[in-house]
Amino acid sequence: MSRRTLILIVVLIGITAILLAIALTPKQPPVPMQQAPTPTISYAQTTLRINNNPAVVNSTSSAVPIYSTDVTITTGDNKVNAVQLELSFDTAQLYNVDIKPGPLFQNGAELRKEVNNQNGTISYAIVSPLGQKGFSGSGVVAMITFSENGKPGDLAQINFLPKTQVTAEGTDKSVLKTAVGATFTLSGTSPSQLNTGTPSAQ
Amino acid sequence: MDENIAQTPPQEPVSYTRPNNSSPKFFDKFSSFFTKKTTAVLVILVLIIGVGAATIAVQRSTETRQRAATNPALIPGCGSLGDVNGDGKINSIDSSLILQYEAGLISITKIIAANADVNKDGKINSIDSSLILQYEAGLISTFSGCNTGSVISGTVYIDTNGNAVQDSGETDYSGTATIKLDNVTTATKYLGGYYFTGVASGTHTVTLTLPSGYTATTTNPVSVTVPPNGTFKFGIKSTGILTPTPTIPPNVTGTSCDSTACGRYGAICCSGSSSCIAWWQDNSNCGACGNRCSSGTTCQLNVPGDYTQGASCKSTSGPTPTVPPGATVTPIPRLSTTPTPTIPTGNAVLMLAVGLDAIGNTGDNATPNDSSGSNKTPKRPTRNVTVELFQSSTNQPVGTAKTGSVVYANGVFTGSLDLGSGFITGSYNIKVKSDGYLRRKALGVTLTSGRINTLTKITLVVGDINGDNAINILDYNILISCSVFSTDNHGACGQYAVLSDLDDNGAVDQLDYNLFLREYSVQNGD
Repeated sequence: MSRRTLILIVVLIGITAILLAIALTPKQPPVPMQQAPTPTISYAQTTLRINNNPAVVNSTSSAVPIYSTDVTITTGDNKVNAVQLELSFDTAQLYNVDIKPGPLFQNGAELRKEVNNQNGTISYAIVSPLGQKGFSGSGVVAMITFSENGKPGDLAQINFLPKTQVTAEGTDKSVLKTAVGATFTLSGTSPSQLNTGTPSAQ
Repeated sequence: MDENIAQTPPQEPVSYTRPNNSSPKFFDKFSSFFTKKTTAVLVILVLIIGVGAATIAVQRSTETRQRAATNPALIPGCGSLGDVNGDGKINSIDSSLILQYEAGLISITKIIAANADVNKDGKINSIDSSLILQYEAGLISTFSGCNTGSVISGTVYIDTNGNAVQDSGETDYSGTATIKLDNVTTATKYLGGYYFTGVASGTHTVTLTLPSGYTATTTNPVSVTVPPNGTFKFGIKSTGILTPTPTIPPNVTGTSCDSTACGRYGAICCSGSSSCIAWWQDNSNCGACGNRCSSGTTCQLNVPGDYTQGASCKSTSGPTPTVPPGATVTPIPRLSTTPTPTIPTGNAVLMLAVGLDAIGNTGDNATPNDSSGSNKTPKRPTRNVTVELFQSSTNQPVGTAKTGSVVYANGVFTGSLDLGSGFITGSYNIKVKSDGYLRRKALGVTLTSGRINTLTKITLVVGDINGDNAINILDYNILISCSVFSTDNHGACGQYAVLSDLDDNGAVDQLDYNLFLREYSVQNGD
């Protein structure tokens, strides 16, 4: 190996050492990027809806038919952890009304359950179990059961009241965007849908 | 001729200057040095070195960013040191909480305090905050407060019933207690909690220096053997409360009054006072601050000889006269140095006694004289109140809402409000509200101009954290977010951290959760 080649190798080793030293020197980390403020307009993305198609839940021919309809939720990007349903219903058409948690809150805690069959109101609040993160997506929040009192063909309604609220992680406001009640016809043992109910926005 | 001239060497200049024709000579040598083979080797090596160095640099940069973004986990062997919010990570959120605490914006529990003081200098301040940020950024790998030895920790609590067990409702000592480890180390106390880190293996003696007016109900000193980590709760019990004929402690500390020390002697601290007031002897603060006994009445104990049963103004001769409009009330000599207020002409003063659920001797506590079920030592002994007046007959509002404050003493919050000038005697509906509580209404209260009017004690329901005069899932969401059960890094907590501490014991925990569930049935204020 010639002397010039050796000199070249030594020089290159020196350059290598310098470059490695530069690469391995601890550097100040980049300043964490400030998160852009969450838009305040779009935090409420959740919709509640009462199913317009109540189904018969007891099939015994001799018993008074009991119907059930679902209260469903679509959360959008919200991570929902609690729902407070304030509902009104027709006492002339519906009686023996009750409400119970749906699959989404099967292990949840009922903070409040007040069904007033005289005034036709339901106040129902259910929350996720302690320590459980909020959920996103769609599902059944609660199921309303009732018996029919009116004549076949009469209209019955179950509607949301303004105090209905939905909470989610990360915000101290209600994330309820829209609540759509149900209107259906009474038809003996097989109620049929009439329309999509009365929408009400939070 | 030309040859002769060419062979003549050029004359050297005095000062050397590189000749213009030197470059070709240099490049000639350079070209001869860099043969094709050498150049190829050089290029390959430069490429290898460049790519290698660039790869290492990119990799390091990525690691640094990832570390900053993924929130460093807890330091092995340091427990939860640095994890202020208890989410299992040490990051800028913890740093921010410390700054908020230092600024007095939030309260802090003893558990949080132990984790927040990362340099273990006995203070929770911006230095700790900065160290956490440095750790998150990867500039430091541990905290100076993290020692490899064992930990001995515990609390000092008020053992009201003296059974040496911290029962439900027995709160941590809110004063300053000194704990010594082997007479060498003194721990700084945080809301009743103490801790020693880096304790060497072996048996150690932990000693509580009893606060004045207290006696120990548990072993003191106590031997603790480590490892594993040791924990011991010191129970203490007040000695002053048992004194049948208490004396008023001097208790003048600057311009403030130590309500805890006063309370041990059945005395109270009133707003603006710098000393204890023996309310059972004071006609101007009979049983509560500002509760003046009118002419013809004197302040007397409800149960003679037992000041713990309270005091009230008792008639000495005939009915209580009213003060004519425009007259001032003659000050009655009293033990306190606080000047006695007078009622301005045409005004009226409303004396308030407010019970707050879960605090003191009122609310949903079924056994008010029992220490369990409600907090007898609230962290915030002064609360704001807003009072609105309405005509009883028409329910029309009268004037604007009045705001003031009430002070905790003997299980209730008391204070007075000036109802303003031109006040007209009549029957009023009175609405009272305090932050975090539902509004409550007292109907048909007769208020008289020119005198002090006392409103029968009114109890407020806790849980209205967001102040909308309703208890609903919005409050629930905030409570959970502010609590130890938070799943959103306290994202919904915001400015509600203090009001979420429903029982006002310094922590948002299971007790507050249980209390909220109980209060939830009320829902709406008046």
